[in-house]
Amino acid sequence: MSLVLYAIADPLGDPGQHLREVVEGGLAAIVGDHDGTRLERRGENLWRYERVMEELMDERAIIPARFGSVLTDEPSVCGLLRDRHYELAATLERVRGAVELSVHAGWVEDAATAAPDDGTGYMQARLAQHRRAQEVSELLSPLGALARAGRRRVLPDQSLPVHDAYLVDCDLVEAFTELVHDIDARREEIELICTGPWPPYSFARALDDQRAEVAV
Amino acid sequence: MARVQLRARHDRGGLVSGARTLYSSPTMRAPRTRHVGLIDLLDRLLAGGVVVRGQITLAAADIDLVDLNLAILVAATDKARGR
Repeated sequence: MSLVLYAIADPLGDPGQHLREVVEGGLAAIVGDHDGTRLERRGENLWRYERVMEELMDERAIIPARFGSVLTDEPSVCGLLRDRHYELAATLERVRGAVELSVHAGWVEDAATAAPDDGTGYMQARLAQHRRAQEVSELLSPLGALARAGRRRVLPDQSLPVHDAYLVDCDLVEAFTELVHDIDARREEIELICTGPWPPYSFARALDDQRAEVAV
Repeated sequence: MARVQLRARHDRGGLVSGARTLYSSPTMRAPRTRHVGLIDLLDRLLAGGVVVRGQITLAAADIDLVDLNLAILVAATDKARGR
């Protein structure tokens, strides 16, 4: 019998949901028994995992674990909490009282824009996309002021290339959402979508790791 | 320490989650906003979260159970497979 790791959190006692705490050095790992069969990435399993995480998040500060994190036994869970105590405790403080919001941004493509049919056309289209992504990024910059932290990725997604994640104080979620609305109202050609509140999945790693990961 | 209840639960085919679309441009249609919600879920669960290093077993569909001594990025595997 191995253990599925759901989250690192404050030790508050029984987490319910057929889960239990393994406590070491003032940190709790929230784990559930795992029968050794595959944790398939089917939609229902993923939503169930997310639901467990949200229930936990309603009662305590958590650092969510990546889906599919399985440890062999309790001593290895204790080892994790011991070996990475400093990093995990600091991350927990960083996300305490905040939730993650996702913002996707893009622009409405001009219907007359034809798909590039040669190398030059392709490069020009890429350049145009890059410029527009920069423009959209600038429009979104006020959101950063309402967040504790933010991460941005610009992906080769035709319709919504700018993917942002923001760590926002619980009591600022409404203000943040209103600001997204205001930014959207300023420019007709941009499109925005904001989802959440998510557990702070995108802010679960040490700061140094995140810096290294930022790719715009 | 009790947390503020922020979310109303939203039913997704029998499964209930609190994360939802907080705002979307009026031009966006429902199927597209649902699609973005799913992308956000996958992105977070499979590429976010704290990664456990050390003796771990990552089990996922299409990938045999493997005991690893290294951190494995499930998302990177997905990208390499072009999913």
